[in-house]
Amino acid sequence: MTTAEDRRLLIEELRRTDLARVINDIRAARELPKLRYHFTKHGAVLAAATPQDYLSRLWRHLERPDLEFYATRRGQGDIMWYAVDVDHQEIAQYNANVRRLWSYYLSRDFDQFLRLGKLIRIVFSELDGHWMVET
Amino acid sequence: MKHEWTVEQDIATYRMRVRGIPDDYNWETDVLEALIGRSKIAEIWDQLTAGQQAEVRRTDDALLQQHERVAEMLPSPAPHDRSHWWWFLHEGPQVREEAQAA
Repeated sequence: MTTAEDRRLLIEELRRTDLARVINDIRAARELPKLRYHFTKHGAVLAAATPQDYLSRLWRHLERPDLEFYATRRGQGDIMWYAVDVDHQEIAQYNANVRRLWSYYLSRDFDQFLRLGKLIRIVFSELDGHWMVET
Repeated sequence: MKHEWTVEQDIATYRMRVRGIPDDYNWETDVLEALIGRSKIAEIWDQLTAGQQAEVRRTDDALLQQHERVAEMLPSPAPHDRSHWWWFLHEGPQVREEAQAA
């Protein structure tokens, strides 16, 4: 589990990150490695008939103006981002270290996932006009 | 509008998530979604056919085999009933039998 110290270090790293650049990269990403693997795993619940259909749905998801963004550290230390359509519980996952989309799926319960996964929210401050880490 | 999950989708997604746990690619997400999904199945357990219950138990067996990896994402910060033994796998694979015996 992520410790409080891990969380503090991640927040520090995110504050040094060009958050707008990462979010732009996520929104502009078009390739999903292991497409067939992801389609087999998540395509049916997303009502995607083919891998291309699944990919098209992912692209449409990334164009949604109301996506919420979260980040956490996963695996071998990679920072994983989650671009979430909260209303539909759809998530595009993005590995910021390798700058690639990582997965696309429907969460069974994003509120629980948010708590258990200890995600850090990235919010747009209308006041300051830029993305910032919510603590 | 949130997706209305069918029993079949819950069972299939749980199975897919558990299958993904041994894979290094995205195992943390698979663990969390598997545990969340297993609790959803527990909520509707009585609606499952005997065949569906048997299928879930087989997936439970596969989850138990991955208890060490699952443990890396536990304990859960949220409270859970001990009957939902999957949230206590950091204590060891015996938690299922303990829950069933209780």
